[in-house]
Amino acid sequence: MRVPIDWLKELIIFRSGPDQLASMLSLGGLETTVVAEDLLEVDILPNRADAWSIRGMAREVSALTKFKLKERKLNLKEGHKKVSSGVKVEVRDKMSCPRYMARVIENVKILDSPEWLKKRLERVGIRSINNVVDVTNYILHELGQPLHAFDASLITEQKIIVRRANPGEKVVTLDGKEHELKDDMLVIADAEKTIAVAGIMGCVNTEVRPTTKTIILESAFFDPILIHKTSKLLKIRSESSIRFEHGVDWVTVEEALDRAAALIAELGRGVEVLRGKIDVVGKEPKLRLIELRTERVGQILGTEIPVGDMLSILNRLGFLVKKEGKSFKVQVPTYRLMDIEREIDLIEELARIWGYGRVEPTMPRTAYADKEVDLPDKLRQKVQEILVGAGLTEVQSYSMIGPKDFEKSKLLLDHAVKITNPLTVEGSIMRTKILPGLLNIAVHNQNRQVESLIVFEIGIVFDGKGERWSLGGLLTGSPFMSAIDKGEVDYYYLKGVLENLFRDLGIQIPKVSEAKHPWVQPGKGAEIEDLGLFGALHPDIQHNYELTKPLFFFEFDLDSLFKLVPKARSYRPIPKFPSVTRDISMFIPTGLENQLIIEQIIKSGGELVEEVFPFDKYKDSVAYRLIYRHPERTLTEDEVNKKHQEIVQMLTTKLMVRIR
Amino acid sequence: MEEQIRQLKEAALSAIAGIKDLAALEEVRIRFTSKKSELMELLKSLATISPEERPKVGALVNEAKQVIEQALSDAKSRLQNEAQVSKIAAEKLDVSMPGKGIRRGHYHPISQVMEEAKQIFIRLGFEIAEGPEIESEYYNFDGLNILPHHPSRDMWSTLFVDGGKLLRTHTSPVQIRVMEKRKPPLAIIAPGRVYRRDYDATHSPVFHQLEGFLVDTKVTFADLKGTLTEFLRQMFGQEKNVRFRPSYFPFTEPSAEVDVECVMCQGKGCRLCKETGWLEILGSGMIDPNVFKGVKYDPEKFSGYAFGMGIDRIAMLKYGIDNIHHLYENDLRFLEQF
Repeated sequence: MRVPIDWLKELIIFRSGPDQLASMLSLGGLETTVVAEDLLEVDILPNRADAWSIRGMAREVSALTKFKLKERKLNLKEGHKKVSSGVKVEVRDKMSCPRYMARVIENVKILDSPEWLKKRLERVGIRSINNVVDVTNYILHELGQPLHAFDASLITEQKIIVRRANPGEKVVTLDGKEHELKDDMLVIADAEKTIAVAGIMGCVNTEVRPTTKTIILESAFFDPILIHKTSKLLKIRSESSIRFEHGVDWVTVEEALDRAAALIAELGRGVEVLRGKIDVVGKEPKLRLIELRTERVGQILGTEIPVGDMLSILNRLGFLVKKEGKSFKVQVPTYRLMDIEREIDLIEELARIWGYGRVEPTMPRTAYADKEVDLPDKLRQKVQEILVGAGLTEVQSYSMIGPKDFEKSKLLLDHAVKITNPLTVEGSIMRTKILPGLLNIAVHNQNRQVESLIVFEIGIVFDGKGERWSLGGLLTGSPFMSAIDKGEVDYYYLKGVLENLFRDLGIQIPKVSEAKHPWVQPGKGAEIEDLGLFGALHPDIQHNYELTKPLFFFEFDLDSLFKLVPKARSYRPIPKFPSVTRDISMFIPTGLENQLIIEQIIKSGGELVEEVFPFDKYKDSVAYRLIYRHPERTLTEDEVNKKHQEIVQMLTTKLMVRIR
Repeated sequence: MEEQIRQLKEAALSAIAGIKDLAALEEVRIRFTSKKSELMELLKSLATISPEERPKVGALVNEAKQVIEQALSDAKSRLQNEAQVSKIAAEKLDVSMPGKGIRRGHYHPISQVMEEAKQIFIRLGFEIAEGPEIESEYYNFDGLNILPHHPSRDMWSTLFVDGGKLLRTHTSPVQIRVMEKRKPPLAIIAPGRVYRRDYDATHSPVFHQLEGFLVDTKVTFADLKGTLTEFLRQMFGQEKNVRFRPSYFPFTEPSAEVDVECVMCQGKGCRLCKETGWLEILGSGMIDPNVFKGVKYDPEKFSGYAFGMGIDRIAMLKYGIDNIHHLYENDLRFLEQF
């Protein structure tokens, strides 16, 4: 909201310059900046219904500076004709419209506003229209009460009815737009037609125009929730709706009506304000009394505000206070009924006017027993650490992707969670896997000539069953720092990274099987049961994303992975006895996997074989190294030879390998 | 005989002088000093000469042997030295060529800042808790005293999903979830992803928050100030000033916006802080009694504070990143800087 300082000064005297004033208001809770010479812009928080006017700001300045608001007299001369001869008001929904006031003003000449009025409205961002409409806008800004003027000659039977809209009825509002109304909206109507959407905007059919001679001036209190809903449904946010949805001041409804009538009369010659005013009241708001325990203030704030200062602050804010022992009985002014309901609300008022800066910081007690440790969070840290250490860079992609991503990555849409009001189609479905996001990152980088990409992401994925933490990775190009070092990532490079991950987590490297999955190039990728997949990305998917280089990926379910992590790890003693090494070179029949060979050798080696691993490979010939060792004694040559023979025998008969 | 010894010595010395490598030297050593060499044969033949001459000739032979051995040893050192020099020369490198090895990995800047913030709070005695990203309206709004159809509900532009649920717009629902399950004292932080229906240079539909709250019997606003001042000084530098401004959040009362002195101009006023000298870092306040009532805590018995901060924003301020989308585009040239 814009606040011209000269306007503010008509309501209160103060000494501070614009910058000082802005800083004071900001530290009091209304964020204020100086936007032009002697013009403030104030950001009003949703709870501060009272601050949506120049007078509201003046009250705030008064509370902060101890200066008092100026007394202003109302100078309104009424004519002899009674208002009841000019309009009749019927409120059919008094819950939605608990107060409806109106005055009738005759002999009005519609002209341009005087310069001072035009300028003032311009300063707050309002376009001047004519002397009547400008006055309603002027009062709205000064007092925070929206008003509306109807051309009385266009109102059928001089009758105003406040009622619910007829479902489907169409109206054209003052901005020239047509709206279809719903029956839970409130309208102002005459005997035959709707003339305004209550609290939002008037209709063109009764708009004040150059020929207007008599006006009906409306000032009302509408239910804030209803106005908020209507404003959202119609997508109209007007100066008027903003104030009604926050809640206007019951008392100001009348004051604003009188001041507007007085000003319209003042601006024109021969204008007659009819005697009296219409005031249809439903349920009047009750006086609100709150008990404030003065000791409670210190208990909440952790600082002592002297009782005298509390009293002074509350008085400056317009509260009436009666002292009763150690408590205050505090009466809330009508303009604070929207946000001051409880003792704690008063404590906040005291704190903000006293100054947050005057509260000395202290430290709370945070040492207590039975704290819980977030183990998954710790393990996710650990995974991050291991992978970054292995040369992978962490990425963060959006949790929502689009239908095209599902199509291109051959993911099923069946159990995906859809966003009902997405910003874009590309972000309309919650990801069910990390990989599609990574592929988009690969595309982004490839388009910018970044050819090598070795990345991972840890994040939540969503499917019908709920939320799960997933770990995804994508590798392509060279892992090396310099181009002098040749070589690109491949399946075994990826597998090495993952083996290190498992090892560092204390997990035994799980059994893999050749993966049959649309993501995997057949024969070049593996699956770990209940955990996930890794390997060469299927060329179809690579082409769907128009990626030029072969890619390698992995995706694991982190919750399942963490189940494999041992709770504790114990130290394995360093062997006391020497080992004996024997090698076996063999031709491997097609389809016989390394992991089976190792498993069988370990099984048949019993307690004598400590370790087996392949150390040389050429075509289908692989050489394995066997490390023989006994934990409690030195092995004899004979013992080793005998066992080794057994193993060779087993390999040739059971696994059908041919020894070289 | 004396002449013969002299000649042998000369021959040996001249042979040694001309030697170019260690193998040739070894040959010379064998030829002149081995048991079967002429010199050693001469020594053996001492028996054949007269006893008077024996000591003299013997001394001559030994002297010749010593001279030759010294020369051999000198030559060996010389050759070894030469060999090393030429080996070193051969191994000369361009020391300015690039080093070897794989490129190192990098933590995403959001993770770095999040981790730093978490660690500060853990040191201050807080525990970590988590909650789901797809939330119910209750945990995201109503339980936090954000009532339906109240203008304050518009403070969060919400993305809704199938089944009437929504993507949490803040990490605050974790407060309610933890308080429903546990009793005070509680000192909790809740890190995580949050979602809003926003998109511009400083707003991303996906971003990260760190929520924190503390509930006990005598928690005060002064405690809130103490904790957050300590946090911000550890995060942004001990010399930084911190200020608290009144604000509004439906789930806290009193509420405070917390600013830290601008990281770029040190409070003098610049473009980053919009000439104010301050950067808005977090929202906070004393937990509203209505929130306590919702989780069946007695607001007369317990008090508490809560706070929340945007991790992306802090990362942007810390590293001078002007557009939030850099954080989610994942251009490697960007990520490798962290």
